[in-house]
Amino acid sequence: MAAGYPAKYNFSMTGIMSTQAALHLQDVTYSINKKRILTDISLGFGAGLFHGVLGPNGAGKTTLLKIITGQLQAAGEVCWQGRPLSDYAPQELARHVAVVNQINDSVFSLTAKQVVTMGLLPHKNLLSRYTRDDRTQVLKALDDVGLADKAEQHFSALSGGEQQRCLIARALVQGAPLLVLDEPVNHLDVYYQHQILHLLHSLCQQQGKTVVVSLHDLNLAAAYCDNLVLMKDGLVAASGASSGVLESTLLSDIFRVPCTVHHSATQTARIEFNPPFAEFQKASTQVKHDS
Amino acid sequence: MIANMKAKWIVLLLLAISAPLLSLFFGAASLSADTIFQCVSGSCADPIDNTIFWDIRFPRVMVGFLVGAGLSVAGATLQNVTRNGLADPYLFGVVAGAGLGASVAALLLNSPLAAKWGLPTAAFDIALPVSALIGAIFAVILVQLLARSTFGGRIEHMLLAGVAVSFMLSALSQFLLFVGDPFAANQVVFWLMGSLARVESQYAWVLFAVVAGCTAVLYLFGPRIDALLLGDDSARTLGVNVAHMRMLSLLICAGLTAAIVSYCGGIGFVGLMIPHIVRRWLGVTSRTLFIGCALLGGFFMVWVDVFARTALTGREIPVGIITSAIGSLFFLLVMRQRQA
Repeated sequence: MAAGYPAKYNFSMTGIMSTQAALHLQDVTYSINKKRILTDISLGFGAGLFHGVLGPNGAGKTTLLKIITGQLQAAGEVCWQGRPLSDYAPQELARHVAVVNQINDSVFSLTAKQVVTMGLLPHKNLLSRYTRDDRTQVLKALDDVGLADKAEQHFSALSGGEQQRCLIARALVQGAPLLVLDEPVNHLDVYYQHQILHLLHSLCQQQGKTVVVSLHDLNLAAAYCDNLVLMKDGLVAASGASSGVLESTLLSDIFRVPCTVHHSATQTARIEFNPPFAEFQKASTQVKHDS
Repeated sequence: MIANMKAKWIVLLLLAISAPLLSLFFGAASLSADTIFQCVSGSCADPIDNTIFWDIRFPRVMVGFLVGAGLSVAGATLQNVTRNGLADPYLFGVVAGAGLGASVAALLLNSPLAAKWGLPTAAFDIALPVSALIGAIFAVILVQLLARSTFGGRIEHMLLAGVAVSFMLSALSQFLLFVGDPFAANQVVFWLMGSLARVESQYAWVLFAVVAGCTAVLYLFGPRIDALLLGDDSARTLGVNVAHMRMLSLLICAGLTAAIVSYCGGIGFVGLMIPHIVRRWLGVTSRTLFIGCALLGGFFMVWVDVFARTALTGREIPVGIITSAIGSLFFLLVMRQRQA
């Protein structure tokens, strides 16, 4: 597997994209205790587009997101707007890249407004004051994500979808042109899944943000993402426009579940899975015998 | 909502201002309101009254306020920085270290050796707080080094290292007192109970500078400390240097606590209880919390000290006993409320 995927899978468009890419990775490799997590990743993420990162558990999605946001240092080069990430001072980087990690609740009950206000921090030094304009900006961001009426509620009392939107509002206040979200629709019901992705999509289109999210649901990816990166075992199996990456043989191989992709000229692609029940059956009988 | 907050601040401010003013009227010597007004305006008729007021009562009330404010602000900072509502200045070994320093000083000064050198008894008044301060700083450095080297600097481990170091140093000082001179042991035991009886006006002004300075710096850190509340990773993505911020805050709190404890002895539970109340009343963000804690902590300690001075005629109750008694009851009440 380490040798990479056969050439037939590699219809990546990195060559074309990287020239215009706002975020650019060249030969990025990352290991923990000599165990390779990512191997020779070279990718470009175009400005103002919605990018999805897909792949089975343990493919290296979260690690990749941590590297492109400067939370992890890897071998190779990661450039944002032509400058290596390591050249940015922490506070400056926070003005360029906003991150929404998987939700971490606080023991102390912060209100939604207080959480969003944190987003101003990269623009403040120790002596800065928080002005009326700042407060207006915070309320506007809460309004943008549809939480205007929940500003004074405690963050921990919000639903999963509301917490996610609250953190997106914080990222908006940060004013960063690049937004990176790690599994933003995990644990959310269908309604909120669509609501969050729709919000992010409109941020791309209306405010020209570059958005990178990791996702598990291939149908959601097909519906919202402009570009996709498909990963497995720390390698990029395919990357490029969504319609190109979503291909039956490739997906069946990577996710180990046979599937069919229905492309249509008018609608987004739809992926249908046919889980290998016979295989599961064999595994569960074995469990019975063992016990 | 906003009007409500304003009202709360006004109430708190009134409490904090009125406490020291009213408490000036309580004490062993009775000073009438007239005398006090005269002394404040600089035209005191009786020089003895003047001395009592300016050298004894005023510094004592001022130190009481500063001790309460300082311990509460340190507690609030430690709780926010470690994201743990049970963190307390005393958890980081500061008091145990100060106790060890005090024990060593008490034993040396009461030893036959000191008598041979002909040290004046006044040496004790300086040596005890100074060596307590050195002990407190030693304990904090020890906790930091342990937490960083052996445990990779994780917060919970820092707290555990603090508890372990506390017990280790208390064991050491108790052993010293056990084998040492009983008179010295007596002195240290009383010191550990905490008291504001020893205060002098120079110390009051030094403490004022320390408490005001530390609170001001922590206030400026406020929004950065807030960023830690949603986790270290989250703070890092907002451009905060988490390790620096945490270390700096811990050191400031340690210095603040050491300055208080080394002179006034063990005054427990204030740094734990006051931030809890302020957080419920005014909110959890650091700037609000610190100012609220300074005001409420000062108010609380001033009245505790008045009680300590006046509850028993002829003698003072050590304040540490009162704060611990109130604090432990308070905690049981909070726990009951949480369950209901």
